[in-house]
Amino acid sequence: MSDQFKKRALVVEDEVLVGMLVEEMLRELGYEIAALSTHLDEALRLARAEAFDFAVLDINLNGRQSFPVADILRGRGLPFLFATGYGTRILSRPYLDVPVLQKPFSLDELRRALARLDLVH
Amino acid sequence: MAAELDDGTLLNSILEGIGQPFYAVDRDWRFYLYNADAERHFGRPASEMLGRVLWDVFSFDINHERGRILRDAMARREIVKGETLSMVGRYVSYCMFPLGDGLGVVFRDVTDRRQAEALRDRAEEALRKRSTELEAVLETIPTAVWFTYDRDVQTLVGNRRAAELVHMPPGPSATLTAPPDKRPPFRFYRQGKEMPGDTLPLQRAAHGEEVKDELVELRLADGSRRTLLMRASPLRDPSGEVQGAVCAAADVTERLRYEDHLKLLLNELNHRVKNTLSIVQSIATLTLKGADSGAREDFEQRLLTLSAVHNLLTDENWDGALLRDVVRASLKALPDGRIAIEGEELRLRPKSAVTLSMALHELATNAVKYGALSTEQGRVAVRWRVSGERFLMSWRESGGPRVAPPERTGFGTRMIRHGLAAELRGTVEIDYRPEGVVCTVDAPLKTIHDESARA
Repeated sequence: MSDQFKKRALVVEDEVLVGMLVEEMLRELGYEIAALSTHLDEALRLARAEAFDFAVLDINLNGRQSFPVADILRGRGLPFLFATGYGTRILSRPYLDVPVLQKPFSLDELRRALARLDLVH
Repeated sequence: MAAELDDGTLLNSILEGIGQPFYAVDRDWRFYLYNADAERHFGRPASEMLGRVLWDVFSFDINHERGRILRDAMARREIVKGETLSMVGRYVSYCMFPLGDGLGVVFRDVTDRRQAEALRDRAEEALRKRSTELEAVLETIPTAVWFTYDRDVQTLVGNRRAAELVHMPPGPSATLTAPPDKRPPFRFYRQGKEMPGDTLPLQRAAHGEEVKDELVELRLADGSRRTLLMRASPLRDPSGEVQGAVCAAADVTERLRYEDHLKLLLNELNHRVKNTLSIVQSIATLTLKGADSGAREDFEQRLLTLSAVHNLLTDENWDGALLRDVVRASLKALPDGRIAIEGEELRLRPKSAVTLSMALHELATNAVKYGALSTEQGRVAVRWRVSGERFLMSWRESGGPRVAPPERTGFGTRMIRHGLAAELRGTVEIDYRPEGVVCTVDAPLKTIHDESARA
């Protein structure tokens, strides 16, 4: 598939090295990276303005939760999934149906989670 | 009078009719009256006593208290009353009085009464001591205690801690089932809802219920809240009829807060460990990019296995983990329906859980690459049991391709043969049978078993 049809991902992850791994995995699965953000305020701005097709959100960003980013994505109708080291109990009501990846996760687990978002490429 | 005294019938009637031992001695201490009750008391018939000198009969007593009392009464010539030990070792209440120029003695055996009194005194003393102890305990323990002797539970009495807890003066007070205008200004809540008065532990116990360890929230008029662990029991009379109730409450607010804090810390620590594992995964993946993809995959799977068993242990606050859960977590990437897991419930120490998990992962990887799970039909059975003080486990592959021993020893083999054996202090053997790999573990139960196992 040619590059111009590749789906673009926003990666929000406060641990740079983990963010780089997610980017690498996404590329391996045939996606393109729109942006990698490590801070909530920047992630909020990107979520509102950047052009991308889906997002992978770390829940805890330097002690702040990324749910406001998720709210914006919901508003724009963009699919997303959470990646967290906290377990699923951290999820609150409006997000119970969002796929959650437990860190660390394998390429295969990421592939399966993305499949749940109906991302065809 | 003299004429009447001469009347033997009258005298006899009086002597026998008074119903108490009686005797009289003349001025020379010779017995001249001695009734049937005296015969019974002293165990000597009148025929043996009359005409004899008292001190000859009771020679032993002459220098004792009773001898002194007798001589004193004879000398003083007036009525003397008191209690003493009689000549036959019984307690008597006596009355001695001048009779002619001799002495009349009437007495009553009070030994039984005195023994009963002594028993009662001892019982009262024991009761007093016990109740002092109980009172001291009630005032000292850091537990609130309330009593009621009122079946409708309109009033109660609490100990000092109870008074402190509800910010009320000590002593009797009205309850939450008292008429509305008398009720105290605090309330009890459960799961955010105010508890009606008749559902409170003390009230329920007063209706015969044993209330065990209920968590209840106390809300005071000033807005403060405490979490109480409560118990209550009915107080019954000897016939079993409920007379009232007692309720004890421990303030566990701080303990729960502390437990929450610990949970939070453990959760945070677990999050950081997982984050670190993710970083290690990232470094390895990015470092090995473009290099041997098999090595990268092996490394990643090992790391993820470690992470999975880590999650399992975190869920149990690092107390240990169930062997069945460890086996399932280690084999979760394997195809469904081809793995049989069978064994009794057993808790593993955290370290045993980690090592066993890693070893099982290696066995599984090997089975997928070269063994039973490399074909469509192959199967694996994982079984364990406890035999006396030994833990026995087996991994048995079947239905796969013909097996040949590996040519070189890799990480997996080392992990299983040496790592697992060293951790469990037992023997681990891998047998590359042509029909399927068999791995057996034989280890002392106590090295793998979680001693603090909860039932």
